Amino acid sequence: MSHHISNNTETTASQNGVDLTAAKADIVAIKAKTDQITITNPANISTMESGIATNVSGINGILNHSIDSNLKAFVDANSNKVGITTTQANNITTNNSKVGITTAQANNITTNNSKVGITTAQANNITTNNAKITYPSSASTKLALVGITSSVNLNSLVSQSNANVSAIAANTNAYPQFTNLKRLYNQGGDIYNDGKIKFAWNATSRQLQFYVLDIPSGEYLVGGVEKWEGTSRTSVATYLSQGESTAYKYFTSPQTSASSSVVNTTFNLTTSYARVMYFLHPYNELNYPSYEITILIGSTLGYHQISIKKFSN
Amino acid sequence: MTDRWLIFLNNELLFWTEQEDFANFNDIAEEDRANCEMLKNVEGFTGPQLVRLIVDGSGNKIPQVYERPPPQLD
Repeated sequence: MSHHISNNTETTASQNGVDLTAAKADIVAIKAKTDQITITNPANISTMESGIATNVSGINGILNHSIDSNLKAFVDANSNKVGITTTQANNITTNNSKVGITTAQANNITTNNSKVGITTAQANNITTNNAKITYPSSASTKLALVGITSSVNLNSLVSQSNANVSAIAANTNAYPQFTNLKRLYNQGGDIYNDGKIKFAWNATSRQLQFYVLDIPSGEYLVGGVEKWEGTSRTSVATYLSQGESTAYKYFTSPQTSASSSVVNTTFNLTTSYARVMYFLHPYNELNYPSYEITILIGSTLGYHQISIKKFSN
Repeated sequence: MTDRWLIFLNNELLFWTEQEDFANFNDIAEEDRANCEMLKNVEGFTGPQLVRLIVDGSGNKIPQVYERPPPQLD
C-alpha cells in the first residue's frame, strides 16, 4: 500500500490528515519488517544478489552433473570406496563356489521325521559295547572239535545219561558182583579189598589167602577149597577164622586165632591145567558178604585167571 | 616208577611183589631162608621175565634177567 501526502496547497487539511494517518501505518508496517533483519555490518544487496546467483548456478551444475571438472573426477573415481570387482559381483550373483543340495535333498532333510535317535548313554554303550559276551579262541577251538551231523537234544542226552548213571549204580550195587584179573604165578601181593575182606596171592605157596578186615567180634567165617588138576579133585571145607585178622590166612584148615596162618601144601597150585575154587562164608551172620573165588591155571608158570564173585554186602 | 622187590631162593627168582608188606621171607620155610636174598628194582625186570643171580669174578651176585622159555606141555 502506498500513501502520498500531497503538496498541493489546495488540498484540504482534512485530506492531508487522512494521508498522514495512512503513512504512519505504512511506517509501522515497514518497521515491523525491518525489525526482522539483523545486520551488524554494511551489506551490499546487489553483491549478495550476484553471489546468490552464482551459487544457484553451482548448485544447478551439481544437479546437472556439470560441476567443476576436478570435483567431478573425484566423484567419478570414488577413490576411497572399498568395493568389489565386476567378477566378484557376478560370482555373488551366481554363487559359483557353493556346494548346495538338491531340492529333493532339502525335502528329505525337512521330512526326516521318522528318525529314531539314541541317547548319549546308548551311544556310549555302543562304543564300549558294554553288554558284549566275548567268544574266546579256546571256546572256538573246542567248538571246532565237536563233531555232529544232525540235531541233538542235549537235554535228552543229559536225561539219558542220568538214567544210565542210575542204572550203572544199580548194577554196581547189585549182587553178585564180579572182579576179574589176571595174575602172574610169582607176583605176590593183595588182589582185592572191599573193606570187609581182602585177598592176596601168596606167590611162595601159590595159594589164595584172605584177611578179615571187618566182622563183628567173635563171628566165624567158614570156607574151603576144591582143586581140580587133571583127573584128580581135592577138596576141603571147614570153619576157618574167628573175628578180625592180624595175618593172612589160608582157606584149607582152621586158623581161628587172629594171627593164625597155617598152610596146607596139598593145595599149592603148582600144576598146570587146573581149576581151583575157593569159598568164604559167614558161619551164621545175615549182614555179611559171601565170596566164591575161581582160579584158572594154564601153565603153572604163567598168568592165572582169578575171578572173585561177591554175594550180598 | 613202581617199585618191585624180587625174592630169590638158591639164586633163582622165587617170587616178586610191588607191595613192600609182602617183601619178606615169612612164607619161606625156615630151613630155606638162609638161601634167600632180596633185591629191589632189578633193571630190565618188568614182571613176565625170569631172573637169576650169577656170581661175577669178584664173588658178587649179579641179577641176570632172561626171557621165559616158550611154554612146554607137561
